[in-house]
Amino acid sequence: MSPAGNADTEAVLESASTSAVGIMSSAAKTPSVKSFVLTASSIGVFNAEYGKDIAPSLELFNEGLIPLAKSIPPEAGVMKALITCEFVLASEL
Amino acid sequence: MVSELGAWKFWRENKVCISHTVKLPGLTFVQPSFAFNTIHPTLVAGPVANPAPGHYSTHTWLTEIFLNTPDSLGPTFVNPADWLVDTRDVAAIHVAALLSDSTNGERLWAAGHPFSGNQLLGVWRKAFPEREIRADFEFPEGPKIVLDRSKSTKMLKELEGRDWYSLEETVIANVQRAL
Repeated sequence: MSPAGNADTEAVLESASTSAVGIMSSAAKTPSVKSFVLTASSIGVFNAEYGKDIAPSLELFNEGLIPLAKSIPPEAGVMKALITCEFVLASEL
Repeated sequence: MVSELGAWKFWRENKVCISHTVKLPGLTFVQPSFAFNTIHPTLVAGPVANPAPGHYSTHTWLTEIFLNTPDSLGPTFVNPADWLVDTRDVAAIHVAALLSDSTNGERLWAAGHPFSGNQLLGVWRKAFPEREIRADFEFPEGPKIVLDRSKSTKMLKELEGRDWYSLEETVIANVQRAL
């Protein structure tokens, strides 16, 4: 994490990953679970940018979002940081 | 997205070990592991199921555009806009994926229609001519975004026997509580 990074954001990112994996591993131990669906925003695949026409493939991960979320200053707050990372991405261009 | 990445990693690494060995008298077999799929909604709009008042994310931000609420994050979501999807379609794709016995290891779009902020305003002006709707946004023309939804469209049609909710139906339903 960069010195200017947001420790709260880091914690949220960490818990997002561990909670999804935790639920999935619990499901894996439960034979009656037949199907598992996880919801993840389209922003995890692409984000719209002015002047860039795209046909995003579902094989893509918008991994630039992770460093971006981490770079949101602490004073922005966690919710604000996560909600605004999409807009920061758009407005940086 | 972070949770999705973690989930796919788990899925790839545990595909084999999450199969269950079933032992019945005189019969032992490996039961296939559960199907795993992810669903990717774009901007979700439409009616809220919960009757309680509250802030319902993009639904509420869209209503704030309708009401021209000051200091709302709403306009940011359409600057630029990409695709909009009805919450009822998002729900249907989830059910379809859960029930499907032929969908496994897939990432699926829940995406209804490409749109622009001014398109929303136009729908509301036409549907509610008595209301004063804010002036058009002066945003540049948004990018053209092409999403291949053929798989989820097929699943939606098979489950519900219908196509995606139209943009008009969705954005009109979105503001019913604000009328």
